[in-house]
Amino acid sequence: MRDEDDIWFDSLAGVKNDDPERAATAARAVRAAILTRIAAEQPPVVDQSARRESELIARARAEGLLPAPRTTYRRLPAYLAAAAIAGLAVTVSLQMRHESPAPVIRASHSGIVRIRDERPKELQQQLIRELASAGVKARGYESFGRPGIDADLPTPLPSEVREILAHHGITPPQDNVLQLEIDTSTP
Amino acid sequence: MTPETQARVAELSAEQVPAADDAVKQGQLSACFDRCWDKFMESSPEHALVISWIAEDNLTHEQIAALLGRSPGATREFISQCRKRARIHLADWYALAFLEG
Repeated sequence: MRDEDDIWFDSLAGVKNDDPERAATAARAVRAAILTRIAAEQPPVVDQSARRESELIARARAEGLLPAPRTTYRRLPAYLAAAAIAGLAVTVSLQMRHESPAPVIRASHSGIVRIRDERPKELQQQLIRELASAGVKARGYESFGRPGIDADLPTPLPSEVREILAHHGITPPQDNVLQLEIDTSTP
Repeated sequence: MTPETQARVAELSAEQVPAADDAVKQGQLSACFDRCWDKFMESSPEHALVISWIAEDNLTHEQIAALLGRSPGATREFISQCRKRARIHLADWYALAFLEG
């Protein structure tokens, strides 16, 4: 039986477009808004008439029918040029800093268990090996430099698996989907 | 044109050409969505990205699982989290779109 998440997913993907459920209505609206946003971000098509106008003006100038455009800038004194370059460098570096991605912090209510260890990568591999020895296929992944593991645990949970989790201080997940990420512990 | 024809033309025009009020509301909705979405991208980039994959590329659970490198169960859980987070981050937009007018 499809739950609300499935209905939402199908409508978001445009698979079913006639579902009257509230989750479907919301998902269809999100889909439409995302597609509109993407369409708006596409580069505008060069206006043909504007391009034609530019070509005609350039040709008229080349044939002497129109005067060449005047250049009105003056050279800056050396000290002002240096100050402008320094200002530009500061502005660019500030903008670059501002645009760096914000760190992702996952709350514990997301279902992801967070533990700390001095060697996260080694602990990840150790857990994968230990779970494999108990017949559980765990997948290792890395999220923003943080090693993680997820595994669909068998139901009911075998005592061997329960012991492995307990040994590492991990509470068995209620839905038997283990999602675990390991942070580096600070000495 | 007969009065009936004129009435029908007016009716069709009203259906197909947005009224000024509609255009203003569409603009407000669009701006509100952009604001909410930008905040969503900032605080939960992975979840917002997966939602845009689903909407834009019609990805299946299996394809998302492959892209995330996660198990089917973890992927289902992640997608459920995407929906919950979208509801939180897009709350203002939902209210404008579904509750007002």
